[in-house]
Amino acid sequence: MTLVDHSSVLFQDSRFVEVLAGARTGDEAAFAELWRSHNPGLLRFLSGLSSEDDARDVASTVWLEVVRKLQTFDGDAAGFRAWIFTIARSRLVDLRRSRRRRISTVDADIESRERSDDSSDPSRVIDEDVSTRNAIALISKLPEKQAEVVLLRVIADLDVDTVASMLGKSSGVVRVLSHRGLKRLAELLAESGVTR
Amino acid sequence: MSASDGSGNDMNDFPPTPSDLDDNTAEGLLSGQIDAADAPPGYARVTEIFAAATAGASPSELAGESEALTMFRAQSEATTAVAGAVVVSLNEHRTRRVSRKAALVGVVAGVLLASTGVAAAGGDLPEPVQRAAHETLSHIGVPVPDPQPKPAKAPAPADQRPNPTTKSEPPSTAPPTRPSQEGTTSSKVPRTTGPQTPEPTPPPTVPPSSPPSTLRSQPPTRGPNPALTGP
Repeated sequence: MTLVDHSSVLFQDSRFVEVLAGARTGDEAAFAELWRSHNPGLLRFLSGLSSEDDARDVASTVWLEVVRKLQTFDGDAAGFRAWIFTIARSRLVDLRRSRRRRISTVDADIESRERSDDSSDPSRVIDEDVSTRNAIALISKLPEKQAEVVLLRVIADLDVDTVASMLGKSSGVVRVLSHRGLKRLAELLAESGVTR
Repeated sequence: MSASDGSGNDMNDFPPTPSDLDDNTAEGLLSGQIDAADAPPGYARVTEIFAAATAGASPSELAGESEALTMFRAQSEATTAVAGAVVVSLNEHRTRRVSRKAALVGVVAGVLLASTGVAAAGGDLPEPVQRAAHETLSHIGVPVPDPQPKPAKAPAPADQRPNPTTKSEPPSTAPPTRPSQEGTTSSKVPRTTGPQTPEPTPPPTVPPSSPPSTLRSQPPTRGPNPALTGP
């Protein structure tokens, strides 16, 4: 059994080609399908690196850019995911930079990782049925580079080389970050008393 | 699991449990190929975390659809408007190009005429052209030197006058003479302005193409050049 079902939130290539073609010709239904299939992943990725409010704001700017540049995109489903998540990273960096102009870097980093609730508490995740929000909140407890790699690998369903290209790092570094992130996640859960 | 890939050896700050992962196991966990039952010790819960992280969309995650569609609709309309504007712009551009071309032709013609007029005023044009300029411009009151030498102004003897019958008629491509001049002598006189009217036996004192002095007061057989007389 496969627990991680990427198809529930992401496209498969065959369907993607059809939907993208429709969206390019102005078909609102096609674009709506494109949006519904990718926006949850975008929000989860951004929520893992920032607050939920910021995630929603950044996601809106991502879609604005996608809408403007959709005609120029040429690629498959994975390429589209890489594209929009790359935009998301860039816009998130922009948001942080704009805040650094107003407040100190330390405060900005703290603010960027703030959560609207305490669902990131591993013990709370363990005690409850694991919700999507809690899962993302737990991943966000990782050091940022590890969290980013894990989110891109798991949420965006991107392979090592694509993530390496997005982050400007080597594939080896991405693998190391993945290993460390996985292990750290297991440790966070273990520290909370769960040893399954 | 052992750190067979060596990547786990860098994690000295981590406790030995959970175990380090090899590449294949890590890849299986990240891609969802390994479920909780097959997960290495300490990682079963991680697979559940990943499953939850990739679960179906919640209503709150889809709440912004109408806003996104509004953006999409606005962009589509803007694209259509821009496409229409581009077509209009191209048409206007073509019109402007034609206008520019017409203006350029006018400017070039004006420059040529002006330079020709200056040259004609100085008597620097080739004789046939100078004569044509003389006849045309003097008719409208612009003094232009006649290339004909002074002695030629005197009426030539009848026997030295060019024989109209020996002169060739104006070429068929020449503009027709004005009706008021038809039947007059001048209308019969060969066009001295025409280069294609050679004089077979030019008198020594009279240039072969020089018309009788009386003809100099005659209006040109061609109408004034509209380009010269126009506003």
